[in-house]
Amino acid sequence: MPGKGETITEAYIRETETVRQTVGLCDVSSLGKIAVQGPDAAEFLDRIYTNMFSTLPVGKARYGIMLRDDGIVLDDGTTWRLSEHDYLMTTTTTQAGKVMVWLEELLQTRWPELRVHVASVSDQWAGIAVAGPLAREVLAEALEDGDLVSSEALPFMGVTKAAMKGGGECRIARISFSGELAYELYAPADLGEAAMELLWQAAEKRGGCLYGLEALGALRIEKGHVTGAELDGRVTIDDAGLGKMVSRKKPFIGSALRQRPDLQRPDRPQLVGIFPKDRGQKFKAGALLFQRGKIQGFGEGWITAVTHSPTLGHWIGLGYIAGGHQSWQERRVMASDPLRGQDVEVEIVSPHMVDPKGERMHD
Amino acid sequence: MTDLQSALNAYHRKGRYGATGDAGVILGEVRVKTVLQFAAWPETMSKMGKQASKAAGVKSVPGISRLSRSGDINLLRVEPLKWWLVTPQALMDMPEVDAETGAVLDLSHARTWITIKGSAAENLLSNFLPIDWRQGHFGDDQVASSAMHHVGVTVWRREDGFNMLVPRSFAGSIWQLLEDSAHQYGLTVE
Repeated sequence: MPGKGETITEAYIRETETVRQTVGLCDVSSLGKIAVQGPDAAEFLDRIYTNMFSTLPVGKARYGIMLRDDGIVLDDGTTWRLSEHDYLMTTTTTQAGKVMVWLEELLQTRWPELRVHVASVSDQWAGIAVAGPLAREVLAEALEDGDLVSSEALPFMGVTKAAMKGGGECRIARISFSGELAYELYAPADLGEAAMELLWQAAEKRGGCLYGLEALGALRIEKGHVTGAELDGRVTIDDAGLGKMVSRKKPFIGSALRQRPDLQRPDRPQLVGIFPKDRGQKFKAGALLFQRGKIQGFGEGWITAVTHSPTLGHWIGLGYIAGGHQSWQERRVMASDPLRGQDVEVEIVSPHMVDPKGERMHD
Repeated sequence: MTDLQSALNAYHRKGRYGATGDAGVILGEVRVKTVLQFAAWPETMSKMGKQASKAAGVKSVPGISRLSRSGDINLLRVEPLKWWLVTPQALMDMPEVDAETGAVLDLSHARTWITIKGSAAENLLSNFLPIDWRQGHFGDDQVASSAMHHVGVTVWRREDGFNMLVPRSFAGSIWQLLEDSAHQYGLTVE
């Protein structure tokens, strides 16, 4: 959200810096939200996600990835366990409708014996991300009882309900897409504007900001967190560097076909981070990655997302390259963009370019 | 209590529009409302239907495409396994239902409630929905789960006209479509 005289680039850099140093608020209401209810809800989630959800305690959330039948990633999101038989699933904005249709198809045609109801509640809840070192105190100020979001009361990935000042009950999850101490507050939609006003009053006086999609993108690219740009319908969970999320204890949609030999090849494109070798240079999303001197054909990989990193002070990107970043140590790589006439030498690094251990969001 | 913000805030302007003479269409919105979904399992239809009826205070469990009512509380049969309790009253406490019997879900903020009344209300709805709205075919206390431009909508009829629940995020667009089309009949927005 550019200020007066500010370019979009200047705005997102300011917003990203503010989130990393102070606090930012972002409207995330567009995220898909699906109520999953019933005695077999836990079993259903275990079948559709690669990881376990039946073991998720009440009052906790967990990041999950769901695959297509052919073993390719379909979507990701966090799912919250509200009670023994009641879950709130979140999806990406883009795939919300597709996932909803998919879940209904599974329940009506493949597993009609499961006692599960799914219902879209995307419109029921307005969502606001509160992210940054001051997120906890900003959030606490908007609630009747701020102690509900203390570090002890709401640990990382915890979920709770709370009364907002002025009336209305909200749901809060301590989850982080930015990599900072962060929460997502879901207020009933008709109270969304009021909730944002409460949070903004608390954030503004602390030097916080509103942040938009460009800053959201910069923050998540710095952290190596994937979105639909990376989960583009062609990649496996291993390609995306998330193979540790695959449970060995249960089958799930896609569990058989993801083990096809071609999807297990070690030279498959894997998620990596990208720096310009000359830190003063830029490159573009959509550029292809080649070994230097061999710029021909479709190359060894591609760039999915780019940003100026306010934290690192130079341009960075995410993308995929055959064999992953370990295979490209000490090797020279070019990002070639013939459509826009640009070749830039790049370094292939780990995709987790800022705070790789995730310490800031566990604060 | 914090003011509720309707999805129609930017669109809903009271007044008289369109063709002169008596207004053929009267559009309005029910702002404060409760929409609760009661969902059964195939083997618990009877038990869950009774729970839903009890929560709504109605005497009978509505069958397919019907509603039962008690005062301004309506219990709509919206899907084979689901009923919606719809009322202009503010949310009452969520009824507790055992998971073995079914599931209850609050959708009060997920839907916008539009009222469509007037001598041309049937004509207006016919412009958008593939249903015969005439009294002899879609009478009082009937319910339809349909779609308007691929957006799922729920419509029911009472003596004073039609009611439509639309997804909140599409409400503005649907309201504009109804308004624009209603001009030809003469429109009053309440």
